[in-house]
Amino acid sequence: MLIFDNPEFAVACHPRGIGLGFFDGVHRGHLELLRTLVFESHRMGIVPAVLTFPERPESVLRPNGSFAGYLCDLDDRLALLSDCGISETHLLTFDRTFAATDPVEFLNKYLKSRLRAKLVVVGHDYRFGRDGAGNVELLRKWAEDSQVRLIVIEQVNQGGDRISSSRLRQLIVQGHVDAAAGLLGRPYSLHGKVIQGRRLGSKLGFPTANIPIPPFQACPAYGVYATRTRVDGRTYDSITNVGLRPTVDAAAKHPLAETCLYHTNQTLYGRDIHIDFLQRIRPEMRFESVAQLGNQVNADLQQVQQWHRESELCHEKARISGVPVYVLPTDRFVQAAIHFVFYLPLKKWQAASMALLSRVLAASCRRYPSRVELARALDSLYGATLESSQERQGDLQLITFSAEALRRWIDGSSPFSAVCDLLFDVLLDPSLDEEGLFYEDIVETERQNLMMELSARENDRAKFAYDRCLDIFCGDQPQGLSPYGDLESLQSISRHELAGAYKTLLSQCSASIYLGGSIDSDLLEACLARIRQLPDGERAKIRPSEQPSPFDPAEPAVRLEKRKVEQARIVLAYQGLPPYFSHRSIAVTFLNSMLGGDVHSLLFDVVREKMGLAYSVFSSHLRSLSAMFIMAGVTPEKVDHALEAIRDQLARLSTGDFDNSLFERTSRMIETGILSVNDDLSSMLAHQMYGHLYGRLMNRKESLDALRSVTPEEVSQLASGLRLVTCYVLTGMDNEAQK
Amino acid sequence: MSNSNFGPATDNSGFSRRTITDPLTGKTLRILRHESGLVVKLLPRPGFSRRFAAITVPYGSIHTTFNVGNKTIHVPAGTAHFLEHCLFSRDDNGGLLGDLASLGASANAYTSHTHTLYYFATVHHFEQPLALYLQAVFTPYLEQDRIEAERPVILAELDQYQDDPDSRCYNDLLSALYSCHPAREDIGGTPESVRQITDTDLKTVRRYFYQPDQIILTLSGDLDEDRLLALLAGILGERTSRPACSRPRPVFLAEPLLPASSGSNLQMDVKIPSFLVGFKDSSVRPGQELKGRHLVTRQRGVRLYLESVLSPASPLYDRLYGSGLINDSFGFHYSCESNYAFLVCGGESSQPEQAANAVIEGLIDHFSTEPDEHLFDIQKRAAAGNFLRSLDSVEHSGLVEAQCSLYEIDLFDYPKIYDMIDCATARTMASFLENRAGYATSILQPVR
Repeated sequence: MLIFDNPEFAVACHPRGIGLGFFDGVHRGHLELLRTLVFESHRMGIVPAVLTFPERPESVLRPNGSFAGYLCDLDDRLALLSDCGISETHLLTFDRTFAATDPVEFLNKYLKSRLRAKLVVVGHDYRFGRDGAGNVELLRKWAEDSQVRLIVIEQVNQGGDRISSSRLRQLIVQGHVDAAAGLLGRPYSLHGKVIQGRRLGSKLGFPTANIPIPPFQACPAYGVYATRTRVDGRTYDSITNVGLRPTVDAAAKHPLAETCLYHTNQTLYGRDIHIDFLQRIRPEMRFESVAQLGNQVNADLQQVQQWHRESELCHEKARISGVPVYVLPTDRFVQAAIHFVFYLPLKKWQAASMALLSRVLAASCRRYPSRVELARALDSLYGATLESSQERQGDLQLITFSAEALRRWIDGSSPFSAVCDLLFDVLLDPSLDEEGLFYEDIVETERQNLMMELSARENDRAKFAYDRCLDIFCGDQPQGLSPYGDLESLQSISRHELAGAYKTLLSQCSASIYLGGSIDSDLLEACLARIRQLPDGERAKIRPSEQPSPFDPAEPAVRLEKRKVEQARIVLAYQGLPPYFSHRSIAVTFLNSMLGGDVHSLLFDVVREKMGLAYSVFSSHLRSLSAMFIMAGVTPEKVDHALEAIRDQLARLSTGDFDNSLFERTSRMIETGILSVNDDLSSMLAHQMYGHLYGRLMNRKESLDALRSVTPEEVSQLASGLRLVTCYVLTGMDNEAQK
Repeated sequence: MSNSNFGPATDNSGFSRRTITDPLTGKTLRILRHESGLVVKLLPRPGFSRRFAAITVPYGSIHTTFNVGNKTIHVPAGTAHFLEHCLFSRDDNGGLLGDLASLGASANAYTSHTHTLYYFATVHHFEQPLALYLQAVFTPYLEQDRIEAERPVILAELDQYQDDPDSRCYNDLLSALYSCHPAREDIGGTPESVRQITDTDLKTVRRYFYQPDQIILTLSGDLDEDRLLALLAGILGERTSRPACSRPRPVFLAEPLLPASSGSNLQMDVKIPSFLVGFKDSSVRPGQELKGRHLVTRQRGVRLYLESVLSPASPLYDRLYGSGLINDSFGFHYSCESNYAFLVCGGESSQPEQAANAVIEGLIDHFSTEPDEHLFDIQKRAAAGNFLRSLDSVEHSGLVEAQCSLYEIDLFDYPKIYDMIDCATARTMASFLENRAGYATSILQPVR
């Protein structure tokens, strides 16, 4: 990200999308704005940029007003903006002179002339210019006159109230760091260089790393916290005391954060650490003696360790060669799982080569050079599984290598440790011939089988109709490509090209690793040691709002195709839903569930049960395309009738012509779904993976809060925004009625 | 489940109880029997949010003829499946599914050859949906208006199967294997039989099979046993178990030992051909039934043996896969119920006839070689591990326990059964596969 801090310096004259705001903390409300800015800028082919200030304007306008401190310093703010995909940040000094600028002059001088804005994105309450006279209405008029596109981000709520930096500061200074994490989308964090302390912690058996709390930053309420501490790319469970240490230093005036990384005994003096605050355990107390303090610290440590064991919070444990390793600790399951996910741009030939490569890799390794040997090794590990899969998310291809096994067997062995080792063997130590190529027999067998599998999708009428509709809906854009490749490309891939794809996969592709279950430090270290064997390289970075990319479907089309089928297949593709990262995604889940995503839906209840028009009729939300698909299998004579009935149900949702009981049932069912995720390890890991991919990862409480904020009117509004783009009907060859 | 398994005493709620603890996992299973004959199984799973209930009715698609006392009753094919649909039929308030959804419960059901299983899962309000579901099972609304509303949906479902190559191929294979056993019929019946089903047929089935003394209720999750039993006692009231003579006894005609035909060839508008190989295991047939633990031991023994012959860890699979005759879609299933048993295996293949022949030859040849005891032991390990892993899921373990109930065993009996089966025993059980005359094939080819 380029940073421009002097408005006198020239800037490139390319058109930009401009986000306006201060963005302290870059919380979830800001993220909605920033991701929209990046997403829409990419759609328009312009540069996403932010215009902001180093210091908060209030410090000039109301210098004596109360202020609990920044949520992050400028460097952190800029890093967070860069993480969002912002290409340029323009810093303006907010002083008395600047504060007196006329609102329209500000827009003309900075946005129009200097930054060549083609798009402006602001929050609904954005104020600017002299006396705050500039508001969204003025901006709207200016944008219209200046032919600038304006997007106003509506208020983003959580927990029944608006997400704002001032609300966050309040929560932090009151010690509600868990609630603050929900609003931020990550834990509240302090960082600094570890200073020499009085080594009292060491004497008590709890060596601590101490950092002074910067005076400008919001300080968590004094007390003891369950924390995680990040140092040199690794994250450790920790316990942290924030405060003045009244028992040992009655004269202290400046608070310290003293953190104990109880699983490691590294010396941290002089190193930069980040402390993530997760849960407050107790307030700061003064003890009569150091011995009493020691006893309390012991009790605190036990409580914090238990909290870490039971919280089941997935977090980044390490980052190696640009690959984040997330660990979801839980002791509730007898099995454990690992998913190694690669993210690639979906391109025709590459999709085929990567799909074939993933099959070839999962078939053997140097240790077990044939399929049958590998299969026996897995069965010997008490039915462990190891497989590769391919998936499409918008214009991304996801290649996943997964393994699952029992964490422990009754003889004390760990099938999961062994299968993790096998997974890394498959990826890092494949079976290759003297030329360093994959063996021909394995490649040819996997090629033929993949091609057959691809062709066999046509055997399934529902899949065939869906594929055809998606193909028409996407036109010649990559979002319509198959993640398994295409027959022509698969046929042509040579072994040399496959070896090239292998190098690309390991060294250039964006990747992440998810480990879930009872993962002890030995297993983690063993996995990290294998991950360090990944070749170094420049890995592509996948950011939500950049990829999956914005998508506009092809031209509207109605297509009737004929095959020898008994039952006609209808597939309707609608566009017009919010982007995948939007906070309104939960309302889209509502819409889908009410329309046809569940057995209490209108399509199921009316089209199937009341009208008897179809056995199978349902809707599906294609989140990365902002699209809704409706699919039905109907008697050929009833196609028109069914189409009309489907449209009627959608119209009912658009106009609000539905019973409140439908809305209530939907709410209940989604709630059940949210609460059920934590009952299944695979679902828990998938929740994390898609949360990262979509840039919208919420825990159970946050999801329930979001669910409760949805209104029937919001669902109707979303339904009324749906526009039918593709109507595809697959029907029989000879039926008179179909003519 | 025999009464002798329970303590003699019945408490005030009308339940007798016993507890089984699995020595391997320490997990427990509570089994209770009400005076009405209803068996309730509880699999406690503290720490999990989801709670699961399964209502198992031992009435499936093959039970088209049954005796009650001296009377023989016949219902059209597809009656069991039709009744399953009717339970969920809609009224203006959304019917049972709507009521359950209002409570956050997600419900479904399936009909098999031998039983119908109704189930739901939820995270709260467990007792209310359970009461609703049980009421619907015991007293389904089976009047003409509902039946006529459901009939076109079922006919559309059958239409859909007509377009499904796998389903067509499978049904053709069973028709080739069986001459008169109702397992040869599609579980949903035929369009003709579905049109013949009347409210009288459905009510007859309900009257004889949808009764507490036929039904097994399985509950898993974080459960409050006392509240649940109080609820069930209230629903069951003063009902008592019926005398044995008034209970239905399914009737089956004698079935020839060999397949009805050597197979079928089907042409459909498909891109990739496929094949199924079937084998009729006539050691289990009407007049030579298997029950309980004996039946499950045979199921598991043959399946374990087949794992060592047909799974990806086997030389035969490796050979077929390497030669391109099969792909990852290849699978196999040995179905063994009280009075029929068969093996089905197959998948997609560009050379379906050759693939089918290679599978048959491979299975037969296998018996001319020494058994691979090591591979068999590996498969036993895998089965043990898969069993343990399955216990991680509240729903899956509940579902397996519900299915176990049909065989009068419990979930925790599986490890013991596996322990009893050695390679030689399993090989003997699977030796029916040596008989070339027992095979039939179903080949699907694209329309030319």
